[in-house]
Amino acid sequence: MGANTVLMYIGMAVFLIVMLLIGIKASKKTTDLHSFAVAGRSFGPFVLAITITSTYGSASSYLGLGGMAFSSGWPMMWVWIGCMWGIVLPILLLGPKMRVFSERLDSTTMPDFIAKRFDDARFLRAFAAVVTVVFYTANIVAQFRGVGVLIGTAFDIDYKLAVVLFGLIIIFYCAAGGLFAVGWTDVVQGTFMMLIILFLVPISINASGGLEAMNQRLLEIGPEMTSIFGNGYTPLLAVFIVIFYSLLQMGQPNIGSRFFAIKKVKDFKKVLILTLFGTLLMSSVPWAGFAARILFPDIVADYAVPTMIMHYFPSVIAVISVIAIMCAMMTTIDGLLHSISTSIGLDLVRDTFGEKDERKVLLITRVSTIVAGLLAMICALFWYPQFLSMLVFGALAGVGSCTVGPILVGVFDRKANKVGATVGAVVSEALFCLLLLIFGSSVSIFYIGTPCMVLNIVLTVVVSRVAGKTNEELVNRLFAVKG
Amino acid sequence: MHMGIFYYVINLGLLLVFSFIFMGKYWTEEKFEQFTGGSDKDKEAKK
Repeated sequence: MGANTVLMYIGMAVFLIVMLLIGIKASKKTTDLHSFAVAGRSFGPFVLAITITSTYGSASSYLGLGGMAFSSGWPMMWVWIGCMWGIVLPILLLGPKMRVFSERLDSTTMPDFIAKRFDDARFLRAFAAVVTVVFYTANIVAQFRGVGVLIGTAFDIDYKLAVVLFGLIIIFYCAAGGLFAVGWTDVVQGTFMMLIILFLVPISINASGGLEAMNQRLLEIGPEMTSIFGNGYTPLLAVFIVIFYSLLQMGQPNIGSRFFAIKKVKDFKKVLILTLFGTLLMSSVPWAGFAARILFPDIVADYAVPTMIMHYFPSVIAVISVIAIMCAMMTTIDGLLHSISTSIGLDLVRDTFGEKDERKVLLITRVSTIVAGLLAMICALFWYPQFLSMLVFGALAGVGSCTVGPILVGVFDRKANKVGATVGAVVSEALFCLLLLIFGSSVSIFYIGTPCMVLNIVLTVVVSRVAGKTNEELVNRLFAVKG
Repeated sequence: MHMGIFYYVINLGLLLVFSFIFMGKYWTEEKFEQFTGGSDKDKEAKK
């Protein structure tokens, strides 16, 4: 066993022990449903910013988008343009309003927020919760597979062992510590994720012979490699990508629940600046993809970033880098798992089926974390149907097609009502599932998800004006002062 | 035009300008104070 391998094992063991200790400490603070779901609304701006940024960045930020940079060159940055606006707009437009509304409505999950905003829309709560559970579980399966492949390859251990080891640790700290554990582990994991990029960009440029040489060599591969459009990125697709990402995060329960957890509303200023900086750092990952295209033109696209790490990083930094990519997957899994468990425990068991005992609901929520996590883990181990990758690719869009209208319109439009929000959510979600079944992966998810999310917003506004009534007392309480 | 210039200069520039204009207009101390009904100050006082 070489020195590098020993270093990797030690680094990974220390990292996993830290995650377990955080889970144990967080479990002592998680004494009720409020602390499990929104960490007692106690997060400061730094914790909130890093947990939003790290949850936003998943395995695809490091592997998938690095691969897209390898294949398509600079035009793929349209995805990051969409992602940048997609993280800034929800914080700017929704952050403070959702935080204040959620306190006034006493809501701790996104489905609950939607239901209470629309005059106790019980069907809408249950519908949004079921959509969240179904699509997020599919997403976790893919993330588990990513963890297994990455760790199995880097440490030369069995894929199944890697999935079980990491899966159990994530499930443990999520079930024990709720959002406290998710937020605190995200801080550690997010720091690793940012750290790697500080090395990734200069090393990629240097390995390519400098900035000018890198540019020149990309141009030699093809003139479209450095242009704004090209390699499949047409102006029409660019428009769809930017709208898609700009709307997508506005309806995601794993991001929205973070807004509920901030202690002071005015801290959103710091959150915005820190999140912008963090996302900008993450958007530098494609530089490694560009360099890999020049230096290793024959590799599989998704291996662009790991290949650069293995060949050009000093061994200690390579260890940190492998941990960082794994952290990107873990931060996504824990955020998704937390949303699934709160949707089951709070939105379905407590608010839909009427279980009143808080301690029992907390227990059920914790058990839901374990069951959902184990289910996704077992799927990742033994079952991988062909259509799952397509389902996973559209998982976020699937949830967004249900929730973006009620959330966005709900915090801005006093006239939005229960009928409008319900029609918008159900029709758009049905259309999304139908389009996914008809076109599958033959059509880009941007062309499927974008119209469904826009339709959701339009239907919520229009139907609210022709049907149903607004609860004036509720609206006056929420919109008492303009935000 | 090189996409790098478009991304880092034009896109990021627009994003920062939009963010700071929005924050300057809607995220002032007074508006937050009104909007939260003074809950932030209560938390600071408790601290």
